[in-house]
Formats: sequence, structure tokens, C-alpha cells
Amino acid sequence: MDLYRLEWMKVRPSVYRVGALGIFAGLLAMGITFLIIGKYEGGEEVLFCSWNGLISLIMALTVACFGVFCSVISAKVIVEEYCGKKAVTLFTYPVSRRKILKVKCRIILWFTVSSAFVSNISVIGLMYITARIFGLMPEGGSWYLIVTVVGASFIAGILSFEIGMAAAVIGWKKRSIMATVLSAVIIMCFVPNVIARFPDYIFATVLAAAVVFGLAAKAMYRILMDGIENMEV
Amino acid sequence: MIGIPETRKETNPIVEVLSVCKSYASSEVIRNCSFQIREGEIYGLLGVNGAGKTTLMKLILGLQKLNSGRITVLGQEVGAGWEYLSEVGSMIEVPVFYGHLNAEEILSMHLTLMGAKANIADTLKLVGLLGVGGKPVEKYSLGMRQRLGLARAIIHAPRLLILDEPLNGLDPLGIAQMRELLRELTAKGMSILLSSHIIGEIRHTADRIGILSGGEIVKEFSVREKAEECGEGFEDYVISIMGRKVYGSV
Repeated sequence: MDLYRLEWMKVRPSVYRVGALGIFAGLLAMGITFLIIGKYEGGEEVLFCSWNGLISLIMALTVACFGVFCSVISAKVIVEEYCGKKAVTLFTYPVSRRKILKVKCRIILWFTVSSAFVSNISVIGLMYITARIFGLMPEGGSWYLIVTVVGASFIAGILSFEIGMAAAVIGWKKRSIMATVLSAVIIMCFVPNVIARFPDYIFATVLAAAVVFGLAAKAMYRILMDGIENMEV
Repeated sequence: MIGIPETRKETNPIVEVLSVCKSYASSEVIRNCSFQIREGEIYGLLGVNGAGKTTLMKLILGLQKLNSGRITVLGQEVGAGWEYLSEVGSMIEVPVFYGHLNAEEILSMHLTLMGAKANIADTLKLVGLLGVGGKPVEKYSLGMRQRLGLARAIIHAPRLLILDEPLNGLDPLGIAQMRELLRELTAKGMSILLSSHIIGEIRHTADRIGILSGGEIVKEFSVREKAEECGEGFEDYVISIMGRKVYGSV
């Protein structure tokens, strides 16, 4: 049974594609602005005067934006579906509730990680090209930095998903879409600050945050799974 | 012209509800409720608003858990697995759909989840929606949604159909067509559990009626026999039973 195709049909992918594109455009605009500010206003101590600083800043913004983006998708795909009248129809199918929830979560995971990864890589790549063309940054990128960006971008996508999922569980408990998005925004007040605080250890910082939130999200996912399995509608 | 249906001969029970109780917090919604639905019959569940009709249907579908008692559907005990749901079609409360999808996509999705195959165009024609299958459901009227809800409930040819106030939102022609359709479905062997608080609606559709009052089936009778017995006073008789537990003597 092609549950993935069916779940994909239920969402309007075009809306989320436009959303992801909007986030990408906003991040790119900010990234180029940071480059210009770094060139004309910055000193040694300013965060966006080095590639490490700029990358950690963009990484933090990516996690913030895509974490909230993931919470919006989760609110639609999980909270609205299980807390609204659609649950009555969904639970009358001879398909395990756990299986359907897993499919929903995997779709959200795939969409969030891929869009955050592609967006981050593209933003940093375009920033690098712009900096080279207009001479906005004296130093060039190294292979080490490229590998770090690729790896950290992937982990940042996973971190965004974990934050979005944690917010979805809170929203499901409260039976509120608004609570889902607000929870993600509140978490976002904290996480990006941590990432931007350690520009010289971007990968390690993003990975540590992903591990911590991964454990929290896994525990919350179990609560959601058990709750939906025993849910009465 | 649709008259009072003839009572069908006794056959095997498709649904058996035995001493079922269900309560929310401190209020007991269903208490010691028992009844059977036989193969190929339309069983009408009649009760005032809040009598517990929808709760009882949800219990049969496994959407809610029993506090005590036992429900068996098509030989399988409810709560012991989901398998029986592939042979059950249902429309509980107002049917809800994914607004951006059209009727064909919704029915195709439903068939996949039910693991069944059927001709979508034929079903849409049966419920009077042929020609609008490509239109997004968010543009449908209430009556059209109700028809699509019924199409979704019957397309996989279930053996049991559970319909919660299915005539809501339908125009008089739609109501007549719906009754005719339900008759055709039972003729093919489908059993139907139908709820309503409108006596006329149930009288002209059901073979047997169970009156739910105060959370229990207080009276069960064959529509034909009772109509012959009461004549013009059928409605008054039913009202007096419906309200007895809720409002005292009516």
C-alpha cells in the first residue's frame, strides 16, 4: 500500500514549496546584507567579518526559520488531522494508527531536512560567489569549511525537524495549531543563540544541539505515538 | 413512491451489542445497551439529541473504548483488531474531506486505504455526483458533501454501513434518492445502521427501529408491524417512548 503517496496527496506541497522558497530568499537577502555590513562597517570582533561567523549566523537563522516551518507543516499534518474531525475518518481505516503516524512523520522529516539543507547550501554558496565577485570578503573558503558547511547543513535540517516535532507534540497535547507554532517560536528564542555563540565550532555545536533535541523529540514522539494509538474520537 | 418497508425475515446478526456501557468523566452516556443488526436489514437508531446515538456508532467502529460489555462486528470483537473495518463503511457526523482534492481523488485514496477496487464513476453516478468529480471539494455545497460522504462509505462494497444522520443537508429529491439507494444496497445484502432524531426519516427507511433513550435501547420493534398496529398514532407512540426517560412522561 502506498501510504506515502496518499499522505503526500493530503498536503498541498506547492504551498510548502513556496514557503521554503520564501525562507531561502529571506536568508539569502540577509546573508548578502551581512557581507556588505561586514565589508563597510565591521571590525575584527564583528561576527560577520569572518566566514566562520557568517556561516554560524546563517546556520542559526536556518534552524530558526525551518524549525518554525516544520512546526507549521506538523501543525497541519499531525495536529489538525488528529485533533479535528478528520480523525474520525482516519481511524475507520483498517490500517495501524502507528503506521500512518510514522508515514506522516517521515514525510515531514524528508521535506524539512531536504529544504533546510538545500536552502542553507545554496545561501552560503551564493554568498561565497557574491563575496568573490565583489571582493566583499578577503579570505577564501577552504575544503575544511566546505565539508563543515555540508555536514552542518544536513544536521541543521535534522535539528529543525526535531524542534518542529517537539512543538507538534505540545500542540497535539493542547489540541491547538497556534500552540504548536508558538512552542516552536519559543524554542527558537534559545537554540539559534547557542549556535551563533560558537562560530569556531559550528559542526560540533549543531551536532550537540541535534543530539540533545533528538533525545527530547524521541521521548515526545513516543508520547504522541502512544496517545494516538489509544486516542478516542 | 417509497412506502413503509417490509420486515425482512430473521437472518444472522452482523452486529451484536451486548450490555455495553460507556461513560465520560462522571456522566454515563450508554448504559447496559444491547441490540443486534441482522444481515440485509436497515436498523434505525432513533433518539433525541444527546441520547447517545453517535457514541454508540463510534463504539461499534472502535473509535471509542467500552467501559464494559462486548461488541462483535462481522464475527470480530471490536477492540481486538482493525481487520473488520475493511468490510464496514461509515459516515459519522458531517463528513470531512481534504478541500483541495476532488471527489475522484478522495474516493481513490479511500479505496487504497481500504485495500479495495471499484469503479469511481459508477459510484459518483449512484449518489448523483457524476460530472462534478473533478471539482475541488472545498467548492461543494453541504448536500454535495453529504452525497460524497455516502459515496465514500459505500464504494468499497462493505457488508455493514453505519450512517449517522445521513439525510442532513439534503434537499427533498436528495432524501428520496438516498432512501431508494439504501433500499438497493440492502437488496444486495448490505446491512445498515442508521441514526436519526427525525421519526419520519427513520420510519420510511428502516426495517426495525431501536429507540435509544437515557443511554439504553428502551424499545425495539418492526416498523411495518408497529405502523399497522398504531396507524396514524405511530409518531405519537414513538415520541412518548423517546421522551419517557429524558423528560418523564410526555
